[in-house]
Amino acid sequence: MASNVDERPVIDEEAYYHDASLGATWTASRTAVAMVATLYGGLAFAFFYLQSLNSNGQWNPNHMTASTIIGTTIMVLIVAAAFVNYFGARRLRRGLVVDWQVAGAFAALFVIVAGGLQIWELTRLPFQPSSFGYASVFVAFGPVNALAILLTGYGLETEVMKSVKIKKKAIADGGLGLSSLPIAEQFRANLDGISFFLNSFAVITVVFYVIFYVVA
Amino acid sequence: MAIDMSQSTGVGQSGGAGGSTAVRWFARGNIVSATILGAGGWFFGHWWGNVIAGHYASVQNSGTNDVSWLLGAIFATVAWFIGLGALNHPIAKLWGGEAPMPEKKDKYSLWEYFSYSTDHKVVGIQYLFAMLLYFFVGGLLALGIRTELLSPTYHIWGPDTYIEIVGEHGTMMMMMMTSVIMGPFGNFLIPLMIGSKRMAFPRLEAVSFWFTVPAFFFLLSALWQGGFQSGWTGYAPLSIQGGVGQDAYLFSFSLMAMSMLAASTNMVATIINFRAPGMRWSRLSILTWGMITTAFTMILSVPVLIDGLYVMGMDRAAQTSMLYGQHGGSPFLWENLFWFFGHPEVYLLALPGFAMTTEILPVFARKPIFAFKTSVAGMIGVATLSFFVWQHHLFASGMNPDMRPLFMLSTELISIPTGFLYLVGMGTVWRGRLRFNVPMLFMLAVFFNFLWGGITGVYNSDVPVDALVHGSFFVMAHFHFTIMGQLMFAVFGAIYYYTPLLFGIKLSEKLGKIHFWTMFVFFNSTFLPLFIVGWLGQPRRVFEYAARLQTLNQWVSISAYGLGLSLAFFVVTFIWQLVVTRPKSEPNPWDSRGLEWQVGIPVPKDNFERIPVILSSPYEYGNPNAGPMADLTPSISSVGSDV
Repeated sequence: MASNVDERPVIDEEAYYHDASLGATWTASRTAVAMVATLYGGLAFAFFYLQSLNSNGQWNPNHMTASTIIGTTIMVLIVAAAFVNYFGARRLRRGLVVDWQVAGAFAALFVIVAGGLQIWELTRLPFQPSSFGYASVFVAFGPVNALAILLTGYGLETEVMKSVKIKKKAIADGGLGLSSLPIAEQFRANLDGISFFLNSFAVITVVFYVIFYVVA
Repeated sequence: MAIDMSQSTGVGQSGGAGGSTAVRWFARGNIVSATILGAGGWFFGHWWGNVIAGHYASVQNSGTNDVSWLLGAIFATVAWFIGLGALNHPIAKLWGGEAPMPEKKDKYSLWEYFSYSTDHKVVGIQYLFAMLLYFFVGGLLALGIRTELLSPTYHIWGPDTYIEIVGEHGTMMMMMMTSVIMGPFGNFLIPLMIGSKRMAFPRLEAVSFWFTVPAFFFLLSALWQGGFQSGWTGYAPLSIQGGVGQDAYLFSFSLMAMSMLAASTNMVATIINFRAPGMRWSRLSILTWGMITTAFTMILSVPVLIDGLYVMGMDRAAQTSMLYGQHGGSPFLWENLFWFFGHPEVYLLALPGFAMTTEILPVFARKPIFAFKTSVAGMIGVATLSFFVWQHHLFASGMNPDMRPLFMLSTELISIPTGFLYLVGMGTVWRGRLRFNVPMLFMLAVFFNFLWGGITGVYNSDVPVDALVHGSFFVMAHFHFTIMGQLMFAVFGAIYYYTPLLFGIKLSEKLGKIHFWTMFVFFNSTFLPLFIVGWLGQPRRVFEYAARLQTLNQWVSISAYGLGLSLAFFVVTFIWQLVVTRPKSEPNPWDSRGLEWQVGIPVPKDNFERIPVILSSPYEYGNPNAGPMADLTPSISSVGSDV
């Protein structure tokens, strides 16, 4: 008869599902990027489709664009947020939690300000929504972009707040950046997901800056 | 983004706000609080929209205010989710916290099925009843269409009402039924099939279901708001000229799109990451393969639908002109955005149907799936090619003629992986020891029905034929054979097959066979003549037709009533057996090897006592040397310490 020791479960369930959760976080962040890229891809299609059709010569008869200054500022803020977060996350991996918290807070701030600017830009457009093709597509793009930016800011803000809340739990184990506690690993997995999303979103922002302010 | 990336299991947590019992009950969220808050949100949004846009010339001239309708719907939906308690977690995260997850239970009260549950088995059953409700409402609308078409001259409905009913029926079926397999069966079964105790993102899973409820009611509300003349395809310029019924169309479709994205993300993350040890890709059930290919297809196509609906909404409410040629837009923009989603959509319906069929066939053929890898390749091939065929819907719409051969070719190509799926099914039953139980009858009917739909699909993809039959009942018959004849037969077969697992009862074979044979005969009797009706020139969406076609139309209408009676028979007998007689099922009544059948009835709270170790494929039927599919209580003594 087998001993009691032999009847122990082979698999440590807690560790198994913890690893699965880390993997799911990785998968979800990549999936989110795929979805958002496709969402923006549809808008890019609308832009180029209507531009190439130029129905009744009304795509952009006067070669107007939305405010380049505001557009550039939005783009710079998003790219800056991605860089700040990237370097902050690198320092987190070396155990410097406060460095990332500061970087994360600034990144969130940059992103939220960019979202505010995107909304503000919509209130001071030099054209009406139905003036011409470009105007319509830009008026449609603006709210989507503002929403995506603000949701990204939400993701960053929640991550910073989470780090503040759980920081003490991991101190004895080397801090959030180095600890092998499940809560710290989950935090780093979430951060990795959000960082990946932010970096990808920065690329999307640059592409759409070129589309709406350069190509147009 | 606002994707919930925390995965606490919630086991052992008890939740709720402080305060009195009533306050806690309300704050925890349920369908009553959701409905009350949702109604409040509607009135607030509607009022605000009137304040914003009530003085616009376009509003005063037309008498309809799209801004107030859409704002009402947006606020109603947000308030609905607040009322359900779905936003507790995202709000708690703002302060670094986490809302408690409802505790899993062995048995749930009826009331808990009306609450925001994160248990995949509850969500699966919520989906099942909701999808059946949506389907039967769509079916009643179909009977309304057929009643009108009994006579070419005597009218039950006016032309406007008729077209409202047609649009409502089409949208209800094409929009809501995208989740008819992934919702009930995907959510309930996938964790069991991959050996997991849970889904990756239970909250996303719950949200995906609760999006469907307001989607259904908003869509239904279009009926008493003038409907939408554009039909389910929403073509401009009709779609930007219609009344607020069109807003109901675009908003409800958007909610279903959100539902699909949430469900797909959860499904992909679960299947990739939560498989039990030993569950290699080659050992995944074919239904799981169907779910993951469908989910990836949704992830890459549904956002474009959201773009299209958003463009339509902006043109209607914000006065942009993206679908209006005079100001630099084009109605063709909608056609492209819509069909980039819309054709994969057809496969979002068909792929799960094929997956379910291929899942059930080997159980009743007592043979392994014939050419399993070919079947998987077929699904991946269909999913991939589905992104390259959308312009065949524009053959007759004035597209660049040079593009036609390309899309004709890509459409014909897709028949190859589709043929893989068909032939795998045929190979599986070939020389099998067939058992003709009710689920098997439905699955065999899938192949009979799909033959008509599939072969006529090849004809339709040819430009000359398409130019002839476009917009006729011929095309309508084609897609009813591919969707209702395939998907819905698979769904009903799956209901008979999985009721022991879902409800602990086994539905009567005798009553099931009456349901099957009447449904099969009346379905074919309804839709086969429509090929002829279409070929003789009767157009879709027109409530009058040539007098010479009256006999055929009457035959079809009477058959449709028979089909409706067959489905009503199912509803009555299903509810009767579920509620009154409850014929008890043995744990594995079909003698299936599938992992989901090994856990017992009712399915335990956590699915498995321990994480199982998968040892072989679920389809080793007829192999005398095949061991069990999995070790459900693996211990060091049973599998060795090196596992």
